[in-house]
This record gives sequence, structure tokens and C-alpha cells, in this order.
Amino acid sequence: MQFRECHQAIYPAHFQLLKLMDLMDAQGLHHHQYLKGSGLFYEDIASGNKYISALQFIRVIENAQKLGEPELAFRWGHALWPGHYDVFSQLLQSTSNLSELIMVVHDYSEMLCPLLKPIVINADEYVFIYWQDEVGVSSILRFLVEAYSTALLSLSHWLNQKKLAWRLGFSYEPPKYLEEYAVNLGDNVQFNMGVNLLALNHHDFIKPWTSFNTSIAIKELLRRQADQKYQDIAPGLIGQLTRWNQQNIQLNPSLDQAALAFSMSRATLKRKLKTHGTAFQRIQDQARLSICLYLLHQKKWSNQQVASYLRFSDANNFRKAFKRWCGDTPNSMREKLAFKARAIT
Amino acid sequence: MLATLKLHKQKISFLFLLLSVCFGVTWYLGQTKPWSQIDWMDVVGEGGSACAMALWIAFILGSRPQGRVTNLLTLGLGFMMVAFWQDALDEFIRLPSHQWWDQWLESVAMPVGILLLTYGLYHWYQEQLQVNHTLKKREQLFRDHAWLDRITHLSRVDMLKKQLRQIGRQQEHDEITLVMIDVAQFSMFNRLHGQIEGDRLLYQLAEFLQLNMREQDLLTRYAADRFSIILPNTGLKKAKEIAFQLEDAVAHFYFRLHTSDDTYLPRIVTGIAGAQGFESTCLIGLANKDLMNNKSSRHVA
Repeated sequence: MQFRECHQAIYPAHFQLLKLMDLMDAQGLHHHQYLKGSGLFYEDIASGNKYISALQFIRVIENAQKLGEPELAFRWGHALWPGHYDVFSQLLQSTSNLSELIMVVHDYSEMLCPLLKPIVINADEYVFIYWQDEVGVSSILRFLVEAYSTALLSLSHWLNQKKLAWRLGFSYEPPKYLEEYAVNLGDNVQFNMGVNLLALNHHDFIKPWTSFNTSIAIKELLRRQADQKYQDIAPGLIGQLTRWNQQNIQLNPSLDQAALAFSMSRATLKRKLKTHGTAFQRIQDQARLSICLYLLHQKKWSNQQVASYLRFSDANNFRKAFKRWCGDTPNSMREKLAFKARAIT
Repeated sequence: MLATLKLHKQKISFLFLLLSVCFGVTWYLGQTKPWSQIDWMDVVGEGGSACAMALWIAFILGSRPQGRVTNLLTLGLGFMMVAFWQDALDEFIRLPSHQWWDQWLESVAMPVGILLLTYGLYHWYQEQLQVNHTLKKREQLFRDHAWLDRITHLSRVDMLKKQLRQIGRQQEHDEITLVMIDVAQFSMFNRLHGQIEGDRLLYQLAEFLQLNMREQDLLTRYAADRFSIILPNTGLKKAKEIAFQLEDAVAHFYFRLHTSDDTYLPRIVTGIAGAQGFESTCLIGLANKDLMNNKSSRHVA
């Protein structure tokens, strides 16, 4: 199993990080403040050939969260895409509909939305896109989700020349600054959902942009160039472990089995997860939760069915576990996922 | 942080010189006390006060332009600091009793300092009245620097909510109207001209809206490119008229681009909600809803 750890320097600092720094400079913050503890120097980043690790990226964003205004994440989001990220930005601009756009972001996520990965789930009525933590970003998850959700809405609005009817769900509590959500992300927003996702109806997802004119040949060429630049980047350890858990969910795999699959000792895996700021149980819970939500909402399974699928002894035990994962009951989550429109201000 | 300190180099050097002279002379003429005789309570009290004075001077010089008020405040605090400093030195060094100047320095510098500081504060008060007068439209007699928005220099949404709560408590039967304002096509503008230009547009629009509002109305930045205006004691009919006038005024506002020699004609869309004896959040929600309706009916993204 191929994977990458949080201390490996793969992110070009002059891509997204430099944009964030520009915004913080405009807010009157000094780079001594926001680069503190990251071991990065302003001159290196501006030089245009500095690569940074996930840990360094996370550190700067932690500082940004502490020092900046709540609007910072949203402002960064608006400025993120298409951006100037070499061939990856060209690929973004060459897309002809939202489905293609998400594919590009998914395939080259470390260059377009570092630290998270958008996972697409096709359902009957909606297409769901949820943000998968790739390297253990719990301390800055909210900031990233705010930024990347804004980026997706903002770019699709621009390419489509019209706002789309997005619905958004967030894993965390409603923050104090709900006005930013209302103006930047719209009224269809819910909190305490256990996962961070966006939903859109099928029709809008595959509808061609109002103006696109990139030929298939050019797209292929861009893809080849992008693949060449992306070939050395392995997926993040936390993302890989989550996906492995999802694939083997019915076997209820243990830490030992995971260590074996990732060819390392139990103790080493434990230690590595600790440096990523998480633990095996947490990753497994998150994997189970995402599968559960899919079964409950899309497959319309009953609690009993999901419980037996996941090898719980009875529905009651399943309900308890489910509540531990996301703080809410399966029935009420079913309701939430139906996105009964509810304005927030 | 303490951005204006370098404007006041002379004052700072003079103060240091004065303190060093005091120390040098006292050291030269006096005798150091043995450890057992030092009264540490006094040292902490007087030395601490001297340090506090130094800090106050740093705050004043670090935040104020050059001028008479700054000079007076610094002089007053400087004298007080010298008095405390001399007091603190006496705790360590005993001066012979015929050195009259030491006593004099302690007991005269303090009242002189306090007099100067008082005179300075009086002028500062006059200056503040002027500043308040200039800022009156922006603040409605309330100021807390943590509430100001960096980009538009308006107050923020917390202020809007606070004001609505206050008005609701004080005048339960008066009509009050809230206008929400969105900049049309703002995200497109940002993509074409960049965020720095976008911020400038928001700032200039905020200024322009201020100019076209009545004295009693309060403009705040709600979030991103949305503004809100509280119209106290105003019915819906009058509010609609004012909102239309604002839209019309902005339609004739030419924004000068920095990125090229062109101008840009921004447009705003408004939403209105009025209430009597209302709940503040519901008023905001209703005005937002009205704004969204107006946007979709005019096909403005």
C-alpha cells in the first residue's frame, strides 16, 4: 500500500500558500507572526521553488486561524481556483462541466486542494461530494472546508455564469460568524452532520458550462503533462487508511491487520498515526460513519439492516455507536441528509 | 505595533539622557546602602511606577502623530517618571542631607508632571471631540476598535446586532427598517480585476453610501460584499424610497480602476424588512430574503 506522510515536502509553497500569505499581508499581519513555528522564510516562499510539507502547511494555517479574521478562509477560497498552478490550473479551466471539474480536482487534489480530497458519490437524486482528510488536519479542518467549498462554488459560478442550487453540510458546530456562510455559501447550510459535504442535483452536475471550447485533444495533452508532474505524489496516509477501512468495513479490521496491510509493525503504525494527530479508532469510526450515511440515505436501509451489515449484535448497539461517531441518531441524520431547506442568517 | 515611535526619536533620547544624568549624579555624590537597609516594598512600588510611566509614554508615542497634545502628554508623564525614578534610586543610594536638589526633584517634578499631564489631557479631550464629530456618522456614539472592519472601516455585523437589540429595548413601538445591500456581480469583478481592486471597490462604495445616507442611519458591513443599513423611526414606504435613491446614486458612481485607465460602474441590489417591537435576527433574515428575491427577479448573480 503506497502512502505519504505528513513531513514529506511535496506542496509548492508558491501555489496556495502564497495566496493565503498575500491575503494576510493585506490584513496588516506580518510574516513573522503567521510563519511562526513553521520553519519557513518569506524569501524562500517568494523564490518560487520551495516545497513544503503538510505539517508546515498546517502550522501556517493554524496561525492564520488565530490571527486572521473569520472572513480569511472565504477570501482565500474565492481566490484559489483556477489560480496559477501550472498545468493543473489549465486543466481546471479546460473542463466543460462540473463533473469534469470535480474529476480534475480529485485526481490532482494535492496540487489543487492540498490536505483534503473531494470524493464523489453518485446517488439517485443528488450527487454528493465530501471532503476526505488525507493527512490528519483536525485542527484546521473547518478552515480548509470553508475555503475549498467556497472555491468550488465560486469557480462553478464563474464558469456557469449563474449560481447553482448547492446544499452544504458540515461536521462541526455552527460557528459564530454564520453571516459569512450565508453570503459566501448560500442559505442551504446545515451543521453537526458528521461529514463535510456538498450536494447538487444530477442535472446541474453534468450540464455543460455556458462557455467552453477546449478540444478533446488539448485535454488529453494537458492530462498527460499533469500526470507526469504528479507521478511521484503518493496519497496521504490518513486518506489511504480511511479508504482501506471502508473497503474492509464488514471484516471489522483491527490495528494489527491494518499494520500488516501497510507493511509495518503495529507499534510503528500507532506512532505514525500519533504524529498525524489521530488514532486508528478515530479513522475507523469516520470510515464507518461515511458508509452508514450512504446506506441510510441512499440505499434507504433500515437501522436493523445497517446494523447487521456492519456486524453489530443489534440495532440498539448500532444506534449507540452511531451517536458516538457524530453526536446524532441515525433517524435524525436521515432527515438532515434530505436537506429540508432552512434559511440561516 | 508602535508604528509612530520613530517620529519621536528626540523626545525618547532626551528622556533617556535625563534618567542617565539623574543616575550618574546620584551615583557620584551618594553612597550605596548595604543590602540589609534596602526597603524592597518601596523599590517595587516606586520602581514599578516608573516602569508603568515608561510603558504609558511608549503607548502614546507609538500611536500618536507629532504635535502639541503629544508633547504635553509626554512631558507630563516624563516628569512623573523622573520623580519616581529618583525615588527608586534613593532606595539604593543614600545622598548626603545637604544635597537639596534631590528632595526638590522628588517633590517638585511630580506636581509639575501632573499639571502638564492634566493640561495635555484637556487638549486631548478637545481633539477627541473633533474626531468624534468627524466620525459621527460611522459610530452613533459608540466605539470599540475591535468592532471595526479592516477593509471598509465600517463597523461589523456584531455591531448591527447589538444596535438592533438596543433599539428594540428602548423604543418598542417605533417602526424600524433594515436595508440589506449587495454589490451586483462582485465575484465577477474580483475575478477580472483581482482582490485588491475588489477591496478598494468595497471601501469606496462604503464611503459613497455614507455620503448618500441620512445622519441617523447606521451603515455596517454584514459579510463579504453585503452591507446593511439600520433606518430608525422609518416606515417601509420611506425606506423603499431611500433604498431606491441609494441604488440610483450608485448607478452614477464611476469607480476608477488602478489596473487600467478604465472606469467601472458598480450596481447594488437592495432588500428591505421593517418591524415594530421585533426580534433582531428575524429582521435580518427577512431583509436577506427580500434581497435574494430581488436578485433572482432581476437575474443578478
